[in-house]
Amino acid sequence: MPALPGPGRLTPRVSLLTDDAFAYVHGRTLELLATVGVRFASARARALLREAGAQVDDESMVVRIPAELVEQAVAAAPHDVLLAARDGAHDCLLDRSCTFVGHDGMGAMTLDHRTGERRPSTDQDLYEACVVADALDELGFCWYVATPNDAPPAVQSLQGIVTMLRGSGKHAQGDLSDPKLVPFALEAAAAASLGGVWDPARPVFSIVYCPVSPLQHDADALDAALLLAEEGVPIVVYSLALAGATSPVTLAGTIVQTNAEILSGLVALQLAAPGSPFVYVGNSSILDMKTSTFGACGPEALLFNLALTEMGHRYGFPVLSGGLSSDAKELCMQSGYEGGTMALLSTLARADLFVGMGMLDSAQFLYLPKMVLDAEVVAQCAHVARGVQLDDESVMLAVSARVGPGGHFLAARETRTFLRRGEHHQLKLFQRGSYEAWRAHPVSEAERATAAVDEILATHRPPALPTGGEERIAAAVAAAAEAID
Amino acid sequence: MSDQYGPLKQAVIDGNADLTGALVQAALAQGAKAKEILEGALLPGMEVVGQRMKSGECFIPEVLLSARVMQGALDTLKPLLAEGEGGGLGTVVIGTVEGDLHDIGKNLVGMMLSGAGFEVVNLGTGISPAQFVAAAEEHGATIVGMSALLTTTIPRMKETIDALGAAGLRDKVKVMIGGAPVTQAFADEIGADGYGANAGAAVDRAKSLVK
Repeated sequence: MPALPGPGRLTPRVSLLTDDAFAYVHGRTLELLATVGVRFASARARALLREAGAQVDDESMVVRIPAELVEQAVAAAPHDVLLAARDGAHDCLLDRSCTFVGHDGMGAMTLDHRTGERRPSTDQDLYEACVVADALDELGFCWYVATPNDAPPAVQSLQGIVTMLRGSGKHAQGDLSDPKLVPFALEAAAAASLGGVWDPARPVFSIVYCPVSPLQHDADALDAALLLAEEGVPIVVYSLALAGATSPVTLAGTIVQTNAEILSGLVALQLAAPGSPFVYVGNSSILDMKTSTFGACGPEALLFNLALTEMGHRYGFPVLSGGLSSDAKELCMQSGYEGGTMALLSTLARADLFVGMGMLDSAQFLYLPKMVLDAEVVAQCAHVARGVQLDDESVMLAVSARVGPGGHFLAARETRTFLRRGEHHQLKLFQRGSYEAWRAHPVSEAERATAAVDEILATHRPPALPTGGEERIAAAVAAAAEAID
Repeated sequence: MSDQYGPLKQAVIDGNADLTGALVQAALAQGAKAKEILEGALLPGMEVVGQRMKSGECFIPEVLLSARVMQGALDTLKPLLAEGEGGGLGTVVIGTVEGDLHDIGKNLVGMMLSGAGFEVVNLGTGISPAQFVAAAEEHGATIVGMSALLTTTIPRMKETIDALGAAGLRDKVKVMIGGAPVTQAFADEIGADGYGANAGAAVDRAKSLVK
């Protein structure tokens, strides 16, 4: 048989926007920013915007942002962003070549897998979620998955960053909504970094900053983000509208408003710190119009994520999207479907990051056993994303010739070779095998997941901080608590 | 009475402002008492809307349209109601606590409370304990409602309850709290009288608190 090179690796990709659609959404976004404007409660942001040529009304705090400022900010932000890890083997370089997955966030509650009780989250819950994250290959970075309610309220977000840094060698992406906490967060990050100094070229933590829909920026949270951007901390701008309530009921209206909220944040950040690392968030949601609660998942969210992820990529930004989340209150078909479809679409839209591991109830509560099941879903998504290798070696015509009609491939050396190379995905907690074998030992999925989590918590230890790091971090939190009280 | 006010009740249910206004005027012109219109048509109409919301038959924006129509009709009737006939269930002072800008949930509850017959004073966002106390005094509040979305701001709720106590108002007002991080357990812990897991539940709880 004559050799043919074949097309090589084929990888699936999903896309929603045409060139015209991108231009249209961008154009409507610029119109919204220039005419309706955005309310900036931060005096510093208003001053930066005024100086750059935006029209600022100090009384209403509304800033109308001209198109040129948006275009300049888009051009100024870097295309590739490094989310460095304490353990350098886990660095996340966001350059459109990989999808890294993180926890969901941020849960005020935890469903305790030991007692079955749903209760306010503690610092220990966050720590354990990070230890599990550290142990799971499928999880690329830590997110602020549980609020340490037992820490003093004024320093909770700082405590969250510290606990993520201690609990895992992977990158920590947290929240910091008070500018007074910035120096303490930098000190904690320095203490956790190799060499004991803050290195803007290797930021071991990043921050999620949330505009308040519709079209508003809080003063403290944005001031903190501006200070952090100046120090080289990557800022993830996460606008979370509720379609029909805090944004138009239509998907189109919410896509444009969300884009406008993110870009207005970007403009302020790039004015304060030109070229500072920025991550766009392709995710939005609806208000459930019958229960008046947040609807994080479902067909609307899938379409929001696709459209916005592609908007971010077309601007040239790294994008964080959603996946694995569910509005379900338990592990069930709803949680598997909602989480799995969103994870797969975010993977195939080639989001640089997506979050959603370990939570249920619209990201209201942490449930650790879900993390290991989510990891199983992530592994399957990655296998789909890897696609199909199409060439003569993988078509295996020569083997077919050897086996012939009516033979079998089980004993062929090539079969073993390809299996060892991972041609077939292998399940960990999900099940195949015979019904009888399962009946003989009917352990539920939740029980298997719980056992896996308990095993990790009993045996896995995250990499230690550099010498003296624990003491420095504890001192930073204590100093912050004192300074802010 | 139900036949007489059937169309008006239906106009409230449908959220039809023009028709509601016209039917209220017509009823008054025919000599109907304001209290009768309120109790015979408007409140029963809202009762139906509330039931439909609970059973998942109608959308929140439809409830709000009816609530707005109800408010418009009440504005017409109020000057005609005798003292003590306010029809109202009392005054609710509502706001988002200090440090928190999120107000959609609180606004939703406010609109639905006013539709249910409460007088609602919406203070807005970022309200300090002192501002809650001052507003409760000024408006003779029956209920003070506090909302928070951020876990970092929910401690302000307890501070507000303490401030109401220090001002000698705690036995005169009921305190309700709500928002994503709030739970019944938290409400119990800080000594709030009521908590609603969603807007509909908050209205039910408010009604039961003033009965």
